Amino acid sequence: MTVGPDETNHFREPVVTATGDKHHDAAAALNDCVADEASAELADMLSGASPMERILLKASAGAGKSYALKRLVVEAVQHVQVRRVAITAFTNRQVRPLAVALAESLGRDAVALLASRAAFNELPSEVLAAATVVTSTSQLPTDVKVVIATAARFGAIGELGRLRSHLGDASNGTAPFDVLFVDEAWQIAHHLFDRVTKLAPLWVGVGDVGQLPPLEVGENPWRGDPGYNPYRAWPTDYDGDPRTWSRELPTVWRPCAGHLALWRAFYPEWNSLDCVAAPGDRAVDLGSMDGGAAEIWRQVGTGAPTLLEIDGLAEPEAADIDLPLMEFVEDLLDEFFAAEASLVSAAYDNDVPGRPTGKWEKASPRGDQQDPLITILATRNQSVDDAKEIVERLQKKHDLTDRDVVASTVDSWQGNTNGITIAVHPLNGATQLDAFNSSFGRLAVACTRATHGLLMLTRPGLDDLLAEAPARPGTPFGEPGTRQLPRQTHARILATFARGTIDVSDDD
Amino acid sequence: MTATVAGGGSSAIAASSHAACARFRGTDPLITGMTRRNLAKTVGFPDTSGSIPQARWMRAMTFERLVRNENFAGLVATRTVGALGLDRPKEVVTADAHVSADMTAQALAVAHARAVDDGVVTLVFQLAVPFVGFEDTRATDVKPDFAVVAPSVDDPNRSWLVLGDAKDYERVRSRIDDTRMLKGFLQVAVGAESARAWSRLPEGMSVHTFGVLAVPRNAFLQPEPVVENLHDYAEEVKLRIEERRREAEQSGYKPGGDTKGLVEHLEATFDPVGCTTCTLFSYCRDELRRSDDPNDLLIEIGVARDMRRHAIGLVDGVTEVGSVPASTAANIAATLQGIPQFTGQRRVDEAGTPGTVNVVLAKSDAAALGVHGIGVQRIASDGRGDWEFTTFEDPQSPETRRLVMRRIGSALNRAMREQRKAADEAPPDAVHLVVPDQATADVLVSIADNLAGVELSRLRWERDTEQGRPALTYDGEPATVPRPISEAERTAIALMLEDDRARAFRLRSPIIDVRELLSRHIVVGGPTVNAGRLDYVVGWAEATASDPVDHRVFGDEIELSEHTPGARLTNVASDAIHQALVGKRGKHGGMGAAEPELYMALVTDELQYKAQILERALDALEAIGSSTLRESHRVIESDAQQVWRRRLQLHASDLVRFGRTYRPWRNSLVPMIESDGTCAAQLRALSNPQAAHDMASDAGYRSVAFATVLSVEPLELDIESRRIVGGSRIVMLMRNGEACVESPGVWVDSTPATAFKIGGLAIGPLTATGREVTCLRWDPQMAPVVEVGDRLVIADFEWFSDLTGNRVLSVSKPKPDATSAPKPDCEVDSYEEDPQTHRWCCRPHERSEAEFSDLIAERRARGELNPEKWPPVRDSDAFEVSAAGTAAGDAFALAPEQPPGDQTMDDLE
Repeated sequence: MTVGPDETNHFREPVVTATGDKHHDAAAALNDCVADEASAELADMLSGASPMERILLKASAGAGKSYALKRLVVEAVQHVQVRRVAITAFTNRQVRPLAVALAESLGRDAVALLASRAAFNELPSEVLAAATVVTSTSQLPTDVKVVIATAARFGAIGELGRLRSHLGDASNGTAPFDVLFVDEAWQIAHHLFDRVTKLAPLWVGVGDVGQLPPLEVGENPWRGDPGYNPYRAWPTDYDGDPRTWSRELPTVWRPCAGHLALWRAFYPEWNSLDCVAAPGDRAVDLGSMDGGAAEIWRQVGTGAPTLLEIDGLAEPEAADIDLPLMEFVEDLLDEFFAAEASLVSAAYDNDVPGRPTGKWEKASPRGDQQDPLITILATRNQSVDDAKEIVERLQKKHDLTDRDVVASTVDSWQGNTNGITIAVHPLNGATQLDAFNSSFGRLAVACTRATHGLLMLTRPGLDDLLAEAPARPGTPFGEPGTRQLPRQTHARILATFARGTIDVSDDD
Repeated sequence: MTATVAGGGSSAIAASSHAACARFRGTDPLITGMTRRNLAKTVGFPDTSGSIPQARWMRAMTFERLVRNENFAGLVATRTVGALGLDRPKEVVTADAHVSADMTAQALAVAHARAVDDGVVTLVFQLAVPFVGFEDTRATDVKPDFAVVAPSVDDPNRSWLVLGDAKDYERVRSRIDDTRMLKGFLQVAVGAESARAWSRLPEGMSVHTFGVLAVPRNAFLQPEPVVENLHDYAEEVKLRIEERRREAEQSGYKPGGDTKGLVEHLEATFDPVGCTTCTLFSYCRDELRRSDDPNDLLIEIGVARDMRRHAIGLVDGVTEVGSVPASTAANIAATLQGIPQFTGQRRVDEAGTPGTVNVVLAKSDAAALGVHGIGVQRIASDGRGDWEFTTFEDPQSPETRRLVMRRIGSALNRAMREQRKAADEAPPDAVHLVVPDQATADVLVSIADNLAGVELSRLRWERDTEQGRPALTYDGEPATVPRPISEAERTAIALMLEDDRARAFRLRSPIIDVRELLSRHIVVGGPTVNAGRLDYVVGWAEATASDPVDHRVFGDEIELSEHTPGARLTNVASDAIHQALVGKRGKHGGMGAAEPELYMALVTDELQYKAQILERALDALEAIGSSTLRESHRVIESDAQQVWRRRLQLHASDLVRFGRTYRPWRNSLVPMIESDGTCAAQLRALSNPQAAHDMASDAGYRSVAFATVLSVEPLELDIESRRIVGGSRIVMLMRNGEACVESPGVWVDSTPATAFKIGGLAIGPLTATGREVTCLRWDPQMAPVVEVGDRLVIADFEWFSDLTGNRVLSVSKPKPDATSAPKPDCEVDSYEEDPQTHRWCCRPHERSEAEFSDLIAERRARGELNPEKWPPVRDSDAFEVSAAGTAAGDAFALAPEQPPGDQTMDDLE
């Protein structure tokens, strides 16, 4: 297949666009303002001046919430009413960077990571070097300030008793910790969280509300049950709770300016949502590329989310295994790396967060960038296997590493960042709307990973499907949130995409 | 005769369900000028499938009237206003607009003035509003059942109009299906959009962006409002209305023209499942049946659009066959050959064995829990006993429900006694109810749930009486205290609630649905949706190569059959039975049937058909061999029922349905559900060739994969997996579509406490051969009989267990639900003697309800309950107890009338 310069390739502007009211340091300050409020509230809760029992900081994807969490932890530890605090999260992968970051601020002895034996064996050496790591409660230093563990580890049978008998009560005199911090709180199912609630009387939950639910709705036997649902994300129980102080972080760091409308489509209840990056702050340098591929990559580089419908592909093996489409992806990526294309970003000041320094940073293939330049995201396991093969071939051909291009399932890429995301639209090849292709949590994760560009691919027919499919119910009755219908939600999201069509059939 | 063009507002909902069909869109009443039902008649295929049984229609009428009943009107209006965050109304007034646009305009004007001047809330019912976009045409009006007019909080000169509709949706196991609610709110949105666009809406009145659906809060049609944001529903109906308008404009057809030609030239998008509610269903199906295009056969039997391309070769025998799921291929083969296809799964169930009780039920369409009759048959150690049929002349009375439970309960008690005797001193085997379809189970469980709620309320009221408090419902109204349930009733109720609590467990089976069971073993021909009826499946199960089934002839026969195997009746039977029961004028209070003998004969006929089908299904099952794993399934249920029997004996949480399990209980169910799910998947992979095949094809199951035998000496396999590689240990599950676990020499030990031990399977490590990555050498401890080219399904041993031996496969048993359950050493007086220790295991309902009663009384004293509380609080127990003297919907009391011709089940359900 070749993408000739004469192929139809006129991209339509998105129907819905958004330019934020504020950018750069002015936007970043909005988050700081909320963090200041949270910090003051936590201090009041600790001193007894506030009757609140919980703080929930809701973030959208890429809002810099880890930064806010770290600040709250450090301040709490320094509070006179605090002897020690606990931090928990869902996965081992999430607790490790917390341990490293906090040990940097508070010192190695003050921060202990409590790991299971299996997790201990897999710990990277930099974690072992940075923080105190123990596998049993009795090894915790008795003057430790911060204990970090996964919810499963903290929730092990008898753990609360062991912590109390080894460390004694914290300042509150009733529990081993004064505050329980929860990172990626919306990923923790209630039945898991119920096992750690007694660690401390005050909780601070921080997380992205647009994460995948802990369990697919269809598999949840309590779906739609208005009562307690063990599989639901625990913070949803405290919506509107009078003892919960809850705020949204109004600014996102990750997306480029052109993605703001898409972000807003995923967080419709947000009062305001702005991004730090101003128009023009990020770009794709196409290198030596030209022709049809260049036109596609140029469009992706504009920052507007892009949906490309590809006509004329060979028939897929099955609806959900679309090898010809993945081969198209391979060709596009091949052109990208062959042309030595790179990602360009405006550099921001360290002292005044978000203020441009006037300098530019460039991330190129084979560079030492922290996040991969390009990620291929797939929803079905088979497609991921295909994508991984593509990545292996490309890495070999262009001498690339995982910092240049990777493939992953959407589910396991939650919480990660990359330069450009390439994903197949969930409605590709679908003949009707169903629970899987209308799982908007998964679509949100796929759409909100990229700093520079998002390219969604699909075979033609998306609009027809959306026009013709029978209406189907959205969120079940009894579940929190409003009941948006799948068709309308898809349409709202698609409206934020620039659209283009390409015909790649050989017979012209 | 009115001169209006039919089908403006009335068929708005169907538009959304059938939007993909050009024939449906092109035959809109706005185009043809006739109702869809008349259209079907005109083209020679009068509609039968979408029509409404009389009893069902009377239920809808009853519910709609109940919404207008002054008690409920106040409740619906007040709760709606509360849910929208508006002020508590000073007064609620009702007004009737008599389905007239003029009177609606007038009623709204008056209601607006009342709201603005006096802060009064009005419930206007029977509205008529011109269909949005067709105000000046003669399209039929939209007829919202009711609307609430309330003063605005922000602006003293404005009022809100909240559109509503009444839908008597049935609660199945206390929940209304989401797709029904969707349809209901689409209907409300049509009303809201029409009202918004109406030129005669009073000035100062705005249509609210939220709408309200009045649905039954319990089985007795007593309404409760559900308030919902209409935004997306409105978008949806606007999309469809715009589409209809466009179609109508573009259609060159003029009413009175060549209707047949019009229909013929429009292409249908046929789907045997979704199309049944369309009036042209029979016409389109006939068209497909007359075609000899192989693709049309696939359409007719409902093979999905994207699958047909791959499957067409299975019909024409020429085209190359692509990747088609085993079940679809079997469905096509059965259709063509006229004989059922065996899935390869052998029996793992207990249906038809001693300890089971067969139950068939004839449900009334006029009431959610209405029962015309029941048949019960017990299987004893000496075989099937006689059927005991009972008919009820008062289908929805509490006495009928109790009698249903008593009949089942006494059969269960006898079965349990026999099982105890047979077991000698060992723990007895489980008992099961065997039913012909899921609907029968759902009705029975809902009845059990209703009676359990009444009994628990009774225990609370008993405490109230002891303490000198009045017996009150949750909403604070005086209650009628019923008499306690009997032992037999309790056994039946408790078993059904056990089944309800076990609904998340795949391996539990207190109630066995024979239809589902039979479909596990055989795949039938014709549209798969037909396999939803047990008599259709049974007919196929009995077919042989010498006496094959023609799927069309047989499908029609089943469709035209007067009787059904399940709880729901055919329209014909439903109408006949309803008329024999209520006569021409309706049946009031304790009156008997209008034509007692006819009624009894009709119901008994119906029950006999059901019983006969159920027995034929059991006969068909007997012809299928037992699986090696049948014993393991038996042990799972029998272990779980040991816990259940203790609950029943000690009255400890035996009357709790799934939806009422409390928080720590639910938490503890999570690991149980997970262990059950894993065990179920593993047992399926071991014993069901089709399931194992599908798991191996599904890349989501990384522990199961296909393998091909490359050589026998040494044994080398080509393994189609990225995860199962050199160094992995594997077990062979299937060889050429046959389950290895069923081979001679394989044994299962189900006695260990935590796991089943399966011996005789080929288990061993894989090592790299140095050639291709997927080509691996396998060294199983027990060498399997295989030949080069054999197609295997293998599984990663680690999926099952982390044991190191290669002799035995260990499958972890699911844990029985022992939360809030008595322990083996709990006795009848354990709780009374030591309440501290036994608080969480065997505290009887009598004690816990008494405590809860005190709690409720305290809350009531503090003003935290209805009617004092604003906004009103919801009863999370959702017990179906009503205040003494409250109107309950009695659809039997109305004089029967014919459902209107322009309405189909799409409008009702």
